[in-house]
Amino acid sequence: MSPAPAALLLAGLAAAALLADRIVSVAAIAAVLLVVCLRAPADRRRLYLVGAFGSGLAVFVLTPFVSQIGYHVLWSGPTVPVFGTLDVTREELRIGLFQGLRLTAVALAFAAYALLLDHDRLVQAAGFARRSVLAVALATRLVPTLERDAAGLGEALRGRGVEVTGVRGRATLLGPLLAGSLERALNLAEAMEARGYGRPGATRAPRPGWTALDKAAVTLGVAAIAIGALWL
Amino acid sequence: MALALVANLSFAYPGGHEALRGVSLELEPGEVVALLGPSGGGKSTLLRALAGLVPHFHGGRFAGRVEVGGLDTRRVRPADLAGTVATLFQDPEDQVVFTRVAAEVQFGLENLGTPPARIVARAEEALASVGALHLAERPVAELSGGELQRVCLASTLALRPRLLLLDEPTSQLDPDGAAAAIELARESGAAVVVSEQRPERVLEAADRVLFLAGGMLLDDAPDAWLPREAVTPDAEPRGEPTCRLEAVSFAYGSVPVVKARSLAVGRGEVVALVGPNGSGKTTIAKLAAGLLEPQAGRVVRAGRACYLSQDPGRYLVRERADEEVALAVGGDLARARAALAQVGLLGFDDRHPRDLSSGERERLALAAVLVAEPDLLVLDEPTRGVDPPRKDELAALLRSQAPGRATLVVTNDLVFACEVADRCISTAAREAVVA
Amino acid sequence: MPRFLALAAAVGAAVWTAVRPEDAALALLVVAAALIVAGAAWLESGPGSSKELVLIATLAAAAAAGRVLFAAVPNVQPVTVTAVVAGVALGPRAGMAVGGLAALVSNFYLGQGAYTPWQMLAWAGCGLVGGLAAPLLRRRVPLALTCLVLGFAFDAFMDVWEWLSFYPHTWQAFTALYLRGISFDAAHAGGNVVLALVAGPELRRLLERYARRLKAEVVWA
Ligand SMILES: Nc1ncnc2c1ncn2[C@@H]1O[C@H](COP(=O)(O)OP(=O)(O)OP(=O)(O)O)[C@@H](O)[C@H]1O
Ligand SMILES: Nc1ncnc2c1ncn2[C@@H]1O[C@H](COP(=O)(O)OP(=O)(O)OP(=O)(O)O)[C@@H](O)[C@H]1O
Ligand SMILES: [Mg+2]
Ligand SMILES: [Mg+2]
Repeated sequence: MSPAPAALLLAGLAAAALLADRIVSVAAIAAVLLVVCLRAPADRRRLYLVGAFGSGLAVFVLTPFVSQIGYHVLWSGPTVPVFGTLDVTREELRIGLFQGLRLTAVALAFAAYALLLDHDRLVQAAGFARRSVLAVALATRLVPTLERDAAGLGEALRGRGVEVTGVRGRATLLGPLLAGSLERALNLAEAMEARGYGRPGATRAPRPGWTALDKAAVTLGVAAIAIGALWL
Repeated sequence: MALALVANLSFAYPGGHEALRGVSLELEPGEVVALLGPSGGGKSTLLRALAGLVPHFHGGRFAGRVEVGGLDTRRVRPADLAGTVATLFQDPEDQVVFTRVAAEVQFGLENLGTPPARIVARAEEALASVGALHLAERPVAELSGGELQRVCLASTLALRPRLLLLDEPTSQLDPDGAAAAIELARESGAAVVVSEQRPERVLEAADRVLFLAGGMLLDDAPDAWLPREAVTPDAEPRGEPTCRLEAVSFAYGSVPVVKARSLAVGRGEVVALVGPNGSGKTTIAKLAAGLLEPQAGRVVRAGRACYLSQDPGRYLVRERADEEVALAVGGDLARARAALAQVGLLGFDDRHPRDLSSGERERLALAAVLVAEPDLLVLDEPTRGVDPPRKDELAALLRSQAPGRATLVVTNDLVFACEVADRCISTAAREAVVA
Repeated sequence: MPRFLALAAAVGAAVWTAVRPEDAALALLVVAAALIVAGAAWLESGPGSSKELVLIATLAAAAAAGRVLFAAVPNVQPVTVTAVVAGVALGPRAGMAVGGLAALVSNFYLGQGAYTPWQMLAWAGCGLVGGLAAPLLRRRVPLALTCLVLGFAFDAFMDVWEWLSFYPHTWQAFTALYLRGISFDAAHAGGNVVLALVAGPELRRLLERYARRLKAEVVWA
């Protein structure tokens, strides 16, 4: 599936999860997104899954103690300054679960985007806003290079017997890192202009058209939003 | 009819002195010209003038006239010249825009308004012509220096220029990679102007030689610039080993780079470490200097070790030259100024390192390492962008200081290796000691 | 034109949140997306030369890569200070673009999440503040104080999004959320102060030196 339709499908599912009113519907969407995420390699997805379920769990655990909803008190605890008497009612648990699942579903949608989509192809697929697309592509390309520069700065100093420690020490490297990146910027701007950037009448390499699968994904995404809003 | 014409060109960068003084020359179609000259002599400035980047991109005071393919650079912007003139700059890392090779090569074609249907085919044709078609879908971050240089050459050749300007295209490449790059440029059929600090890499391919010093074209090149054959030094190892690697292995993540390597550098010895790009020279140098810990085997070192990194110009951290050099000796400015004088930078004490030319910056970084008078001195490619006369001075300096310490020099420059070293070690073949 | 559309969408979504609080999460995501489109449109209408574009992309990448320097110290990163200084030296547009782009690009390597659009808005805001208050922030101490405040404001802004979207709209909930992250916020704000004091003015001088080289006037002799 090409990147743009896949991104639209994920966005549709996330929106549906945020529009649905029933726990079972949100849980179903979260399950679908989880299955999608499981296609990513184990080591890469662990961080994302822990993040998604962790933040959802936090909502579920905190909500009962920070709200006064419902009558079926399941547990009432001590009175604490600021938070008043801590009690847990069935309604609060239900809302905590519902909101927690919604956060997890949205987090899983972003996780699927990060794990499975080629960020770079998605950015370049955008036909409009050429300057912003170029800025994002350029910044993405430069990060590994500047990370090597940052590591190189520390190494060059260690090579002269100068140890860099603590936040203060490292902060002194920020200036040279930026100075180096600005020099790269001038060279890059010069190279781009030497290759015709800024010339009127630029064309774009043809983007592969959307296959039947892509079109289906987009319609499914839109349908998910509609269904989420109306029935779920 | 001449392809390019430069008539009495004089130019000074904003707030700077004259970089070019009254330069005149003509270029014929398909001609390969070698542009030699000392660092700061004006070579890059002349190439930028031919591409219109001087004065449009850099600004400054421009006098005289430059015409390429009938277009006067005073009236035509560099982007409009891109179809006629293409430029390959020194550091491939500073020219790549996109994260994937295919998009990178297509970028130039898109800017020139090539009909969309033809873009992909032209890009693949250019990649194939430099033998890099297999890299089309690869992310740029994973390519080696040599591969990246080839991709940049493909993105310039894709525009089918009539004049190809190469500004020190081989400074990062080993001898084979350098020969291949120059040969690919020749085969393109375009007129080629190659600025180069290592004459032996470009003189056979060149139809004509221009020598630029102090911003002026001279009639002939001083003899320091004539090519010299590389006679490989193979003296016997001698001296008390200051640094010894015993069956050392190292890997970056899962990629093994150094496998059970043994090596010794004795006190009073200058040892050259040579070998192809990506063969682990820098990694071995860092292991010897103690910047990296081996995963297997042992590194035994006696006394203090200093390491000059491979791209010194980029790793200067202070805003004054003498403060930069004084870092390694706890801020002792007197010793720092003595070290600056030693490398030919007398009077540069208050200069900002970022305002120096590339050659001057490399010498500043060298002073910043020599000042500490280490027992083990490890230099990683100390002659990049350094012209032959300065290289002779560097070789003489290292030889004169050799008795007091052990010196390990990593270099792709075989001529320099043979002049400065007692013996050569290669990372290419497993056991072969001779380069 | 896209700027007007984006702001209209933002106002519409805000009204929607008021009417149906349970849809707050989606409405806020729409607001964030709309404001980012407006920011991109403002960037799009900027000057056309390659120098400005590469400058913004490089500063954003440097801010994102700069966190490698502080990897060993939890939650201390240079993006806030870089965005503010970019605003001070190069104006609100550049500061906003650097902040927003740095968030997007660093999350591409650190891990995208539902918080990404909000981090983009928060850091873009820091750049905007730098740009608008430029005359006041030229010296070390005011810059450090502003970065301290922005450090806490940044984390509060992120907590407000999570609170309105997924937590009961009670101030106890917001207090719980804010206390949960207080140690990180302190490290973030503290780190900003040290960075601003040690590197702030030097970074500004660097960027102003670069801005001068952007102009490149040609003198035809
Ligand atoms: N962008 C610049 N701004 C100001 N001065 C510059 C700039 N580039 C070069 N110069 C100065 O102009 C003179 C010529 O520089 P140029 O780079 O053309 O020499 P070069 O022959 O290419 O040197 P090298 O062999 O070290 O690359 C030098 O004194 C240099 O310091
Ligand atoms: N920091 C790093 N992280 C990951 N891989 C690296 C790193 N540094 C080097 N490598 C890889 O290790 C191999 C050897 O690199 P090294 O720099 O030691 O070779 P080299 O002989 O110095 O090459 P060159 O002649 O281009 O300087 C290369 O394939 C390189 O891509
Ligand atoms: Mg040069
Ligand atoms: Mg190396």
